[in-house]
Amino acid sequence: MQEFDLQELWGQANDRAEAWYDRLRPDLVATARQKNDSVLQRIRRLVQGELLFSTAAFVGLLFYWQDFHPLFLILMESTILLVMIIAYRYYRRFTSDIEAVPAMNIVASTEAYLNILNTYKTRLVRLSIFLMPVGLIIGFMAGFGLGNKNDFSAFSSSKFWLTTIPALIAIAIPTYYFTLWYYRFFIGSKEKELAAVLERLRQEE
Amino acid sequence: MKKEFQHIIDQHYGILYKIGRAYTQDQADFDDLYQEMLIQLWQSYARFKGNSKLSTFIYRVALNTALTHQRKAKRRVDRPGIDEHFYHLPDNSGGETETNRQREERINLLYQCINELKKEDRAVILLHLEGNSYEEMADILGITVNNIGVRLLRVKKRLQKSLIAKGYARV
Repeated sequence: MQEFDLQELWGQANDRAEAWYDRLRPDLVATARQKNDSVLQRIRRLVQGELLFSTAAFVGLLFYWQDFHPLFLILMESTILLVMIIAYRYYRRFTSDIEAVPAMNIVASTEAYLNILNTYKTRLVRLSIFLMPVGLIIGFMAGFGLGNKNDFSAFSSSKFWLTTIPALIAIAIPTYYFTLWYYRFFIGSKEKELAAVLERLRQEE
Repeated sequence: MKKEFQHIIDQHYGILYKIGRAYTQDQADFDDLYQEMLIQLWQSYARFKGNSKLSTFIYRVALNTALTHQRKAKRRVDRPGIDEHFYHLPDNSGGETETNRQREERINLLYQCINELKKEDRAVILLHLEGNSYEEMADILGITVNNIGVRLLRVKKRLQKSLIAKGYARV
């Protein structure tokens, strides 16, 4: 096989590209303006979803302020606000990174891509571990508060905590695995493959 | 922006097609990747400041999209003839000639062999076959010019071996 043959053959492959493009051309811009379903854009949409959901929860709770003890309401709203701040900071920080990645050179882009995925995954796991116990305790408090006219005395009993803490630990394990499944389901699992590509590219031959 | 974009793709559609073919194995997956590359280019082009050559920018966006492209879990229902375009050249000669068929087979074989290379090696050989200089390739890939030279030699040897093993000379 000579170099010339390969180069000539490659040139001939343009015939197909042209025929293909002729069919596609009339809808080109419409196709290009469709929803971007890349992994990074999915991450962006998931964070937007978190922001939207926590804002709705924050505003929604205010409508029921009379039903809750003021301290309890403050605790709930502060938690949601914290989630909103974390989600917003994350969103701001990564939006520009996500937009810049596709036009970087392959090594820099793959590196940035893996960093974004890694940060998102870490954040997702941390958030789930933090929110699960906090959410459950707040849920208990809401239940007790609403059921017993804001009587929170049950929280001072050791029996309550002796039952709750092991339950929280037991729930933490499936939550952790669920989070990893959720990540793989929505984001996919290209990381290992891309990390290998990056490593090989970095090796000076 | 629409007309400008259309004009740019008119000039560079071959890049997208060839990258699409090198990184997919069937028509449905190719369609998905081609669309993904167009969408990514549309969005990235709005932020293109002209710091690099336009072709460099297009290669980067298209290759990055191809590298991170994930095959859809739910494939489209197979339609008869869906892969027709993928494997057959348009017949402009008024009838399929022997030469045309041979050419088709050779091109299919070439894509098949490129497809078997490692992902980063596919990028190296694609850029080389497209006529990019070592400097341009280094700029697109983010590796040194020396590394390009050594890498390219190795990839070419591998491709040659693979083409011979698949009977390229006999086609």
